[in-house]
Amino acid sequence: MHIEAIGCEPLQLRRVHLENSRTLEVYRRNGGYEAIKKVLDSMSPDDVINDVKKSALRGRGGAGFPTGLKWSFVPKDSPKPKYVVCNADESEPGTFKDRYLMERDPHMLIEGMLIAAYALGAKTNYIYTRGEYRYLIDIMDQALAEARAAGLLGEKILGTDFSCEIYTHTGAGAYICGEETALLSSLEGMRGHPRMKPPFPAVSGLYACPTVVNNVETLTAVPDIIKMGGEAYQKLGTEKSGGTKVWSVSGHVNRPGVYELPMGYDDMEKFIMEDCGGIANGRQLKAVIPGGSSVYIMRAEAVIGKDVRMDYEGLVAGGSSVGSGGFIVMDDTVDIFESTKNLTEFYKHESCGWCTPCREGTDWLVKIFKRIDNGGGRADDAQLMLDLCDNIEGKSFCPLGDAAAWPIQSAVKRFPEDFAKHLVGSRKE
Amino acid sequence: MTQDVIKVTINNKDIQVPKGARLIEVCRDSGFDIPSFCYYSDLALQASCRMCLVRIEKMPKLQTSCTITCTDGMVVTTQSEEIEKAQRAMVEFLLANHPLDCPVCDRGGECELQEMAFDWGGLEERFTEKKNYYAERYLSPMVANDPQRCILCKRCTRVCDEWMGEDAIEAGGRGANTVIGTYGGWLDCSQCGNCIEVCPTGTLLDATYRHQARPWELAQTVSTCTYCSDGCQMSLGARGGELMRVVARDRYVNGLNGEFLCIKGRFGHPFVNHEARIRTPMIRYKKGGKLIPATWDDAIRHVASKLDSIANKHGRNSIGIVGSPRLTNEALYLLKKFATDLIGTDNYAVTDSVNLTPFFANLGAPLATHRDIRYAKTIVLIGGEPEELQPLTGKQIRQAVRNGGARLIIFNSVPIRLREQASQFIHIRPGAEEAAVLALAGGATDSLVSRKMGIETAELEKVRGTINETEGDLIIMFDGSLSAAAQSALAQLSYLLRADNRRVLFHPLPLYNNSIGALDMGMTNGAIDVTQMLDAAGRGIRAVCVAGSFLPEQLRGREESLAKLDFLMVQELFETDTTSFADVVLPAASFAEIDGTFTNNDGFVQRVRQSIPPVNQSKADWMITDQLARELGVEFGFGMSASAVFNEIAMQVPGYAGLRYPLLKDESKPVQVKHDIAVQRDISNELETVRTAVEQMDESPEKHNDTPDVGHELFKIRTLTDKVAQFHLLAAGNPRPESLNVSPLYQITLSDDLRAEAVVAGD
Amino acid sequence: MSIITDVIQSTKAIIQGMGVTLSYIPKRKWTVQYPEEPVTVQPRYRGQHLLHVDENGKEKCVACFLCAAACPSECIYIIAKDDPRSPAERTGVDERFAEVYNIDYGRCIFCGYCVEACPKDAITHGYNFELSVYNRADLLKTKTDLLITTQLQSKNYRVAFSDEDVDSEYKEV
Repeated sequence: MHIEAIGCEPLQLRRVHLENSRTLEVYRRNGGYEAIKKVLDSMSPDDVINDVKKSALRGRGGAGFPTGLKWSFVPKDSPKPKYVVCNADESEPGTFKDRYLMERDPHMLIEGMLIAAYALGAKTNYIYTRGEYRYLIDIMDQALAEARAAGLLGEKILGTDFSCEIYTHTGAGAYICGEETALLSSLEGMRGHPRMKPPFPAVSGLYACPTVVNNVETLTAVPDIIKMGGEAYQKLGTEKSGGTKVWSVSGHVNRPGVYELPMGYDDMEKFIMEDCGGIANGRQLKAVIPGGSSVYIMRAEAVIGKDVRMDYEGLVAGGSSVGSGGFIVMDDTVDIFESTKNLTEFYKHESCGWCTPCREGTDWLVKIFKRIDNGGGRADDAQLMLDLCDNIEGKSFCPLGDAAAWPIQSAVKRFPEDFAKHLVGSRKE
Repeated sequence: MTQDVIKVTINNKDIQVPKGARLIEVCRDSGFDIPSFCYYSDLALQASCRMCLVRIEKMPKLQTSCTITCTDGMVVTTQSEEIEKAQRAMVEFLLANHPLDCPVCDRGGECELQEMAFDWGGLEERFTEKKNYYAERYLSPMVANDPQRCILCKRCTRVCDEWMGEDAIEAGGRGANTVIGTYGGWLDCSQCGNCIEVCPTGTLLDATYRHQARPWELAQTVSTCTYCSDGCQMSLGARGGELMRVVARDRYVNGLNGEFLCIKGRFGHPFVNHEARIRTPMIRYKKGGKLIPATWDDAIRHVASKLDSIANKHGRNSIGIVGSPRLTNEALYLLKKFATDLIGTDNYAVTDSVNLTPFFANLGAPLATHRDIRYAKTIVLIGGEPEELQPLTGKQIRQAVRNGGARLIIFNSVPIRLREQASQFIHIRPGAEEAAVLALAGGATDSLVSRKMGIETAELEKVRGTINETEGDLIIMFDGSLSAAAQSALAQLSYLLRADNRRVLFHPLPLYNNSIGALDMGMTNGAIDVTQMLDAAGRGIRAVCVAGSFLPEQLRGREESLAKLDFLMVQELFETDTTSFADVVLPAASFAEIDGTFTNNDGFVQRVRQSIPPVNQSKADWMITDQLARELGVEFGFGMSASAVFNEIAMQVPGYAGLRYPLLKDESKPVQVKHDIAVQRDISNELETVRTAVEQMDESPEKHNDTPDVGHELFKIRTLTDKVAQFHLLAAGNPRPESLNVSPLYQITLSDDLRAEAVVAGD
Repeated sequence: MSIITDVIQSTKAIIQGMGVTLSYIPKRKWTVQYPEEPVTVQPRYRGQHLLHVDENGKEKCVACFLCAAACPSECIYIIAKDDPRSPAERTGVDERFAEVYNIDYGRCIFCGYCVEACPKDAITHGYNFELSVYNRADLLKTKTDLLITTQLQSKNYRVAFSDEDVDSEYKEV
């Protein structure tokens, strides 16, 4: 796996290549736990929140909500306990950055959570990891034990009055638990169903108390923000989305891996063709899914020569979005019908079954794909799929329905030839 | 109460609504129909069916109107092409995996999904794939389940959790494979069947009515339940003189219970058409002989001549008249009139195990309705076990605590299930319920009370603290464990506990459907009670006429009494211990065959309506009394009209003044009896009596530490529940059958062994 | 009037009348020698009902009561029953079947609404039309009389082929 920071100093990836990078000793030797010391020594919770606001850090989990704003929604005067929950339920197909960060640099996450807990006044915090990342729990627990032994966690951290505890928790392997309210339900021990919003978790989250749910990468960005100051961090990226972003690059490139790019990296084509070493086996680029499976798929024509800027606005202008940064590259051997079928099966399997459109819609779509696969395709199936997606999109309870509809919509619209091939005249009779 | 009024614009129509109103309700009240499946006004929001989508200006997507609270100036569109497309899409999605086996489905004809498909479904099905398949199965002897038909609105799971507090059913699996199921595959709960009632499709079905009839064939009659004192309103579905089922669906009936019924109300009706019903009048011409069928005329003539001769020989007071608290007000009133005006005896009584006369004589505050309970702020429950004996009251208490934030204080020697909702559960010694009255009356006796109850004194202070903090309704509930003095004192405590911002209401917990009515009709004012009458049998009492039967606990130890009587007449549905001694047995009509009224523990007078013609040769109890009176030479003049009897009740019984059947017509607006409110008086004598009794109380009994099993009272095999095969299975521990796909009744033979076991378990 | 004119006119009338009679002798005759010869009925003829079975011999009727609901003369009476046995042992195609299925032909008006209403194609009109009985109670036909496997079929009719012109006889008149 290739690890590289391009166009910026490595922040998130500063330590991951070091030997024993997951130990406290290595972390501390390389600037670790300086930020929390600075925070405890000289900053008030409001200072921290202001710094994060100034940094223009946007949530790295997929929705891209400004983190500082999210933190400021937590009512300060609430008598209830407050919680910081780290969303490490990284289930988006094509995304593996959080796993990498937690595996190689768990203390960065712990420090980020401590700062967040200090800023929000939380005493109890949770790291919610997906069921498949069982081994990460062991790594995290070990790191937490180390931090606890070093007085960085628990009562009176670093000799100050600030006390805080972090616990790990695993899900049972449900994509839906990456949705923050479903995650909270699961954390409470209930079925991992999403909850109604409003009330938002910042007001009534875990155990109906104010809760902030942040992605791993969001929290790991916080120590650097504190160390270099919010403005300096923001200047690394663009005005609206500051700092750097870690991309998980997979698919038919010569150097798949984890890449850290500044927000607003100027050209996606350059990123694929030069930074990632170009398309493997000398083939042609066919499609790119830039932000994990739930975003619109892009045709090569929309990437090559189009100077697609790699940040929130740039990708939207290019016809997709940043999502969780799961950058999937496909060459011309890929049948987009097959890849879309695969994704649809994933969404069918992961739909929690709460609301009608998502539950029944994804089931129906999979059945259509299977029928076409078995040679029962009809000319109007593409239209039917689009209509079903339209009926799911925007009507489902949580964003999973939208996430299931978008890849199909974009694939059917942008790669009609791949679908037509399967539909017309394929009836086995 | 003044409420802020805000303006909402729905489909260009300005509507004034109270602040905080829910949009879906506002739309429906304003005449804009909004389809929905998962929305149920009394339950937690779900927003999963996505049928109630509306467009609200300034909001990005279509919004579910069930989750939206109206805000000032909100502009809403409920009908547009976009919304219709979305709603049609949702029905199409729901029907995709729905088996469309309406001809076989018991819900066909009254199915919400069917109705929705008529309005919002497409003409052609675009879904041509294979549907997901699940086998039909049984969840319990009462509940049948067809998972394929499920649309996952989860009303059932919410009802089970929020109403019943049992959480016995929950969804399992994920996505399109989600199935409503039980923990462990077999439903172990109170079998109330409310999940069946609220199910909008044919997923959860009444297993006792499985494939019996179609809803449009049934004549629906609104009536009142004949089991406990809550007086739930229900709809009797009859076909061809046979009572097929009982439901509380709001399309048929809108009573105080909403769609709630308990296992007895919903499934306990097969006794009505049971083959063991007494078919004809029967006369035992010779003591020790057999009961021989006779005509009505012969039987009545026989009774009249016997009563006549005994009255002549031993005096009028040698005749005892006994009524049952299950009879209608009309029957009880006429029995009383028969006893006092015609026979002229002082010895009349009801076979109730609780006598609330002292309480009503001193009543210091009105009775609480079930709606009051739902919105009460503090509830004090002394003794009793409402979740088993008055299930609707139990549900209202649970909702008051869970949904209304009420505080519940329980004095009980048994850790009943409701204690999970209690803010304070005071675990007292058995028999120490009376002491609770002293504790409520003041702190002077706290050390005595706490010693006798076996608790800390601080607990009693906490109770009074909670009561003093209460703003709103304080409801005091008690069961029959209180003595007469304690009842009188408690009834007057309302004057002590009330405050400017606090209303005190009482909610007695009698055991029978018309216990309160029997009291109102004056049947409890007789010179002696039932046990005294039995003890006097053969001496002071020579003849007894019973409408109903003596309770087993009343006959216990007095088995010989009935044999000592010169003459015993019994009006009954079934042969009982009492009929085995009877000289004349007259077949009485059940609640489903007669017109009349019951008075419930709210004091509501509610109609009982005839659903089917009297079974066999049975007659309404009041008509039997009427006929007997005619034979004895007195014409009451009511003819065939129960309403004429009720007219006279309205004239004679003070609390019922002005009531007429037409005024009781609307079951959604029940009429409360105006019980006399006694003026405040000094209750120190009563408190002193209670204190003396408490002082002499035994301190040795152990407290019960085990929470009673669910259904330990509900599943008991009594005369009526004995006629339902499923109750025997439940009473025998609800064994899980080999195959879940076939009704347990077909698999488990109700052998004598199982029956015996059941009867023992129920006793 | 003389007797001669009388005779002439009578003879004339007889000859005229016989002329009509005799002219019909060589023509084709429409009389059906029922019951010696079978009556030809239309394929869509609405005779006595038939309750059908599927290819495995299971009764198609699931006792949904829709026929009874649709019947304007309320002549259909059904008692539904639960059949807990396995599909192979069942009477009908589903777990619900009609234990009793009666049609009262004293009331039936042969309107065919029941056939229209049936969602399972379980009931159709057959061709039996000989329904007259000596006792009015016998007009009540039970499931045995109606099931296609047990209904006694009259030999006194034949069903016209779908392209056979049975109607033109009436057109000529």
